[in-house]
Amino acid sequence: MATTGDAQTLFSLPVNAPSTVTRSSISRRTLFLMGCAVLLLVSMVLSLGFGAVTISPIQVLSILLSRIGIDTGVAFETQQELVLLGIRLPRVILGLLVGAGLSLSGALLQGLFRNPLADPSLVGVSSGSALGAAIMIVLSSSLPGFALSALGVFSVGFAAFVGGLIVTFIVYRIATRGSMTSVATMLLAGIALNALCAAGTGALIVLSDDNQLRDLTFWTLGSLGGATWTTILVILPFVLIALIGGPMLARALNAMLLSESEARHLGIRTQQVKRFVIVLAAMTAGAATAVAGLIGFVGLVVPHLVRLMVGPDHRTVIPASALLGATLLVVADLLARVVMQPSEIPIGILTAIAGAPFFLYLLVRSKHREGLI
Amino acid sequence: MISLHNVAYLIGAKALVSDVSFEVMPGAVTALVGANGAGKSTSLKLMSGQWTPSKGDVRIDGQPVGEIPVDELALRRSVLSQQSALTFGFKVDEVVQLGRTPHGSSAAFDAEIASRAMEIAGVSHLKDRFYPTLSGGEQQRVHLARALAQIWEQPSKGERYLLLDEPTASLDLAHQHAVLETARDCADAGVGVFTILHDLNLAAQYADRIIVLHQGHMIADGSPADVLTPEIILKAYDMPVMVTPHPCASCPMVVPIPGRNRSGEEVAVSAAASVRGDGAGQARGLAPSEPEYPLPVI
Amino acid sequence: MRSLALAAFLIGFALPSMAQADLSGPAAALSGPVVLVGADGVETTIHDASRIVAMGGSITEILYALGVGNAIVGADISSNHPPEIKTKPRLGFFRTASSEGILSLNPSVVIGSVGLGPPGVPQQLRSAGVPLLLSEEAKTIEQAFERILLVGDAVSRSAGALEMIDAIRASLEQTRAATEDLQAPRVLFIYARGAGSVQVAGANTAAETTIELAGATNAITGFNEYRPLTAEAVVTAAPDVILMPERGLESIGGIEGLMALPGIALTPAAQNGRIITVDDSKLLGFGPRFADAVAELAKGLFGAELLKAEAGR
Repeated sequence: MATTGDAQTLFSLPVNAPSTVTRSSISRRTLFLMGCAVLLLVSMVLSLGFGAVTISPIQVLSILLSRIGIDTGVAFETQQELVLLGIRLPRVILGLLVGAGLSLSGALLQGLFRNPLADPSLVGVSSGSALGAAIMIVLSSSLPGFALSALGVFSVGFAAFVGGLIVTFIVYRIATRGSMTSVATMLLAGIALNALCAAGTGALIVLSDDNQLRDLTFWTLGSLGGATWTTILVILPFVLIALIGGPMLARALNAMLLSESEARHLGIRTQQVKRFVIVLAAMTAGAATAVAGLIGFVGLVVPHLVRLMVGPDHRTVIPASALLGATLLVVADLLARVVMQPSEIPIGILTAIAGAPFFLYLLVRSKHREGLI
Repeated sequence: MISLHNVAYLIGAKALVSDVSFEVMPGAVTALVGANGAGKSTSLKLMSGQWTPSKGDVRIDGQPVGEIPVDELALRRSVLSQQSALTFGFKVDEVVQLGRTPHGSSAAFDAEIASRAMEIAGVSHLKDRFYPTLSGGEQQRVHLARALAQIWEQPSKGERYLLLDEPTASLDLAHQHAVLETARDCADAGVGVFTILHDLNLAAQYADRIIVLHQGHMIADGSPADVLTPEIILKAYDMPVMVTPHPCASCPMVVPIPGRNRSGEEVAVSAAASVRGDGAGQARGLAPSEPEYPLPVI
Repeated sequence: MRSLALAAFLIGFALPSMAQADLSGPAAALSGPVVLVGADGVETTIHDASRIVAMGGSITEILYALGVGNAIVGADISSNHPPEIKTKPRLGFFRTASSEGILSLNPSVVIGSVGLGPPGVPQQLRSAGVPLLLSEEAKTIEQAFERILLVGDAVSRSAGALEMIDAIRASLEQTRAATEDLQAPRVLFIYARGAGSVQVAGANTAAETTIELAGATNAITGFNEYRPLTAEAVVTAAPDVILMPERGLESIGGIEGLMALPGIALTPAAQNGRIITVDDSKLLGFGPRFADAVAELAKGLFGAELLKAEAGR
């Protein structure tokens, strides 16, 4: 307590701040983010280079460069070019967007709920999407011509997106009284609505025939197999908005970790933050689910991983989650494609296989830091 | 100046506080005391703008608190809450820097201020520790540093206020005094300090002004010498006390009368001698004897 | 959709190359491009049917029956007949296929049904320049015929396809004639995927079509499509015979498991031990073996009576 009460230093303003502490912590953060970005790039290059159709890394480069008018003189077949540009590249980019979107969504919700176990399923996005998709898969044959003709291949995705948003909206409404939203009520309402949606989905499973059940199961495990440039255009705006909006909420979410009232004392408009977070998270997770099915684990674990590595500061957690989430999904999709080629494994299985051991390792390694998660 | 004017806060038909009027002056330490459930925390929540009064108004420098945008308010007053729900593994340094949230200042500047605030609050040595691993008292001092960092600079508009909700609750004796010394220093630097306290002697020693709440109503408001009387304290706490001059400070000292239960009835054991300045403790455990001081009239 | 598929094989007929298709050839001979409109309405030009990827069990069966089985370079896992298909590369289930997996086999044409998925796969295949012909998923006998014609046209085996259809028609007609004077038993079709999911076939299902073609009637008349089995519905339906796909019966633990289902033991079918199983894909796939499956079913349903009726003819 040697320095306590020294009125001369209280409220004394630094003339110029020479803090070396700060500079090193900033560069640490930047370094970490750069590391994540490099990891993502490497995973993308790898993912582009492997698959059922053989395309060597040099050919990958040559094909990509030829698109921007540079001829490398490395020979490649038209088939290889078509596969790379028409299937593999959209797929890798879709993996990037879905992974980034799900992780961002998870990071935002974990911050809002001050709960490291929060993920998009908590506010009903996932169960609502699943119900929407199940309705479309199982009942669309009973609604002749309606859905499929209007939305074509996106009918299930669209139903999933709408289902996710509707359920999230209901959860939000239930938890909002006057102008205040109770985060605890949202959690509980989310649990109840998740159960309701699961019941609905279960009922539809009972009604489904073999093909529908297959579709439903497949959808529940997620896949990037349907990636086309159109799918990318569908999800891109949502992920972009979250990529821009997420970091803007970082300081507010940091303050919210103290508690809602303390965040308000720190000048945060908490109600607005809550609304932003819910909208961003639901839209992004909903869009990701719509194009790729239910891919679990990513939204829950990636932000968690990041916090275990660099602490809970959202200014790092949010961008790093996006980058690492993208990496995890790109790698998982690579495995999904090559492990059993020429057929595929659902990606949801692989996100768990790829992410869980690493996550456990970090848990064990850091368990002495009590309360760190 | 923060002023409460005829403030009431109702939940349903029940008034948590009513008819509360007082001011918190810049440059002074104002302490709010009262029994559990007297409405102390409610008053603080109304002052901080967290709750809106059902009746009356709360003004900060003449402006109704509800009309000040939260981000502007945050530059003018900081709040040290009783406990924080923070369970995420921030480092102490980072928690203190959260106090800089409302400021648009550079990261380096914020870090420097955080480090100075930690020094003031005596937590510099903890700066690289993980917050959740600290003891309750250490955590409280970290939050004090955060609250200081928040109002480190004079705002462009109005005065600065520091609102403390039982800042000494989980602190040891030395740190209780250290924290209130800091509060005193803040007041000396022109900050309006408002603090809820349970320990009347701490209030007596550090406050310029004490306000006593009883069942949501103010029953006293004035200097420690005016307010800390056996009568007022008995009314507020339903507890008989004696008030003597502090042996080494120019303020009153409140001493509970042993052997008296809450309604003031005498019980079998009396060891009033133990509270005397001279030979204190020596009389402890002796056979019952007549109290040397006359008991206050109930 | 259906009219489009019809248009598809009409176009097929119009092409001169179709008429002179060589039925006996080992693989489809190259005789100029074939232009067909698939069930999804997309016009597909097939230059060469020497490397076929077949995405669907019935399509694989049709290709084998048309004599071009050795041109198949890969098939989905619902293709399990004839057995030799299992020695060729397996491409997952046709509804959850991998475009790149298909492309890695370098097919000259991919033939599948409109269920080929996940969504986006058809587009991916086409954008990679591979002709993709989609057929309707047959739920009626007419759709089954359309599919046979479409596949036949695609591999320049139109005549063979017509012959196959004629043969199926003839066989079905034979079954019909043999059973028409006989008392039609009431058949309950049970579709099971484990004890947790047991459904019965209502009106307007492929199962009902099959039952009727075999000369029997569906014991369930109250609803369309499939519904979960309930004890009361089963007892009310009072089926003379219970019909189950083999794998479905296995999934609920065989005959014993079936008897344990609520209400089943009270039915005349159970009391008389009249439980008939059929090969799943053979009966419900509406493929080339469909007529045989119906004939077998009729034999199972009528047994000695049928022989008597045939002898009497």
